[in-house]
Amino acid sequence: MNTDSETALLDIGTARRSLDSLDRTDLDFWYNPRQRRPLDDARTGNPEPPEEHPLESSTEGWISFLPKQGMIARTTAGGGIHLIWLSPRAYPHIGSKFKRAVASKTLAEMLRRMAEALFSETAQIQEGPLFIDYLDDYLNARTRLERIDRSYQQFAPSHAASGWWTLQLRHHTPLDLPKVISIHLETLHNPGQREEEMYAAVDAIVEWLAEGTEEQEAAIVDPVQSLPPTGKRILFSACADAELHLSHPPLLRAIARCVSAHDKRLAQAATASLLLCGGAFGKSLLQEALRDVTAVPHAQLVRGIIALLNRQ
Amino acid sequence: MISRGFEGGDPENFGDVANNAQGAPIPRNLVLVRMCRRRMEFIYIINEVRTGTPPFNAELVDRVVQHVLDEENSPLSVYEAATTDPFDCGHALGVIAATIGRNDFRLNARNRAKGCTCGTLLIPRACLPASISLTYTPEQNRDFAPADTRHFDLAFQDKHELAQSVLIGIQTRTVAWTFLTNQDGTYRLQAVIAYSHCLSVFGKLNPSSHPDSWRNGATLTASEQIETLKHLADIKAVDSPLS
Repeated sequence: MNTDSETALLDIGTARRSLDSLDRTDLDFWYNPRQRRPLDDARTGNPEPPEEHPLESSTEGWISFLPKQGMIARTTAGGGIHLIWLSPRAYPHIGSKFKRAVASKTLAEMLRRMAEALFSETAQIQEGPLFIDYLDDYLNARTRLERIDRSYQQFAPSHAASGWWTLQLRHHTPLDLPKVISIHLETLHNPGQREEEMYAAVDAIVEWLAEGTEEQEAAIVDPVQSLPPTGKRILFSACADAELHLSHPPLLRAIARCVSAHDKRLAQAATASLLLCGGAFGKSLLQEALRDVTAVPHAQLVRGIIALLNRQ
Repeated sequence: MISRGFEGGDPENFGDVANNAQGAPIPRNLVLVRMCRRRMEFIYIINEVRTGTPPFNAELVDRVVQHVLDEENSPLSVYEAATTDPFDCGHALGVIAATIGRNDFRLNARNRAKGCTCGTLLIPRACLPASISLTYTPEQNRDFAPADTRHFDLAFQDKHELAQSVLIGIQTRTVAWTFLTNQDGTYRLQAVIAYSHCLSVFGKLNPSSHPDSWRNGATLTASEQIETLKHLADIKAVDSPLS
């Protein structure tokens, strides 16, 4: 097995054999590739600034899945391969996380999210269909990936019969906010606006967000952050009412920052939307926000919302 | 109009079955079913009441008027329930009666609106201010005939006083509340309870031949009411294939 884990340059011919011998510790190099280098450097006494791995900047390439065993990412330019070991067991509740993963901007981001989706569920390993079966169902559903090659032919023709899955990531330009949504966001900025008009505006925004792509969520992060507290509160409340699924980390982080707002309704709205819309990542952000309760002016109300929504 | 007016707010009458001056039974409990289109605003109110103490500030009272009473003027439509338990069939009939007219609840609706949720309050009569009055008004029940006999008009002089009473009732846990949503099935559960009640009263329900005593509503015919109730209860999920 290749121990030069920072680059893990394995060719396809050896990949499969190597996957068999990978274990959980091999995740470390992937999760913390830049930390690993300084450790290595410390051993050699030759510190050097870490270099960015080709996957970190690549917006085009493939991630391939070997049933029961692992996944491999490679840039279109053939820049480098990373391996991730998979458990052979199924993870039945990872759909939303995969949805988040396939909306990634870079190959490295996509691979990281795939790994997070898999390994954050290790406590829930269950008997059942193999992971690849679940993936089959998932990928047959709607994704934004432009091509999914079951045969793996375009990447490695010799593996066509081996059952590899390949996801191809292509560059996507950022989504421009539709003009009508920009107008609705403007409505939320107006301090003299009646609440009913603001509610009508957020209904339209939520309807648009419910279409469910991460590009849409990404497009509203900046406008949302600049909203006044009332605008934020009404928007977050509407998202929670609609039980939207939000998955774009910067948007969820923007919401999480409002948990410590001085506006008590905004603090409650942020809490509710993280709980109802943000999935596991939203819940972890909420936990993080509550780690220092002295920084949360309405911590009691925040805890009250958590209790109320958890009893539903 | 059948008049069953009485003055409310006397704690000594709470829970009794005494008759009012017109000989009609006085409701023990009222179900104030409000379609809280802004469920989260309803939840914030409940949360703030649970963590606060009376007297509640004017801002919170105003929010009850805005989001729970919907700024409506006197009288309010309320329904009678035997208990403050959300599984009381009076509550279920009130929920359905207050919501069945929504376009997106119909069988042919494209899809149920997201966030189409409902907050309800189950209020013992004794929690209400002495200044309120109740009038039995079955004809004011718009679109769900089985709830006719449970419909009352609640007249009040001061909506802020009423809101304050509701807040105190929530705080002292004498007023019960529910959040009903589509996605977790809690709304459907109320429809199932109402449907079951209707079966016991009317027998097997068929939209194409509705019971004679099941009247047309203001916007829904009797057939449409039955069809929508069956749709909301999603009876297909458990219905016998022979039926």
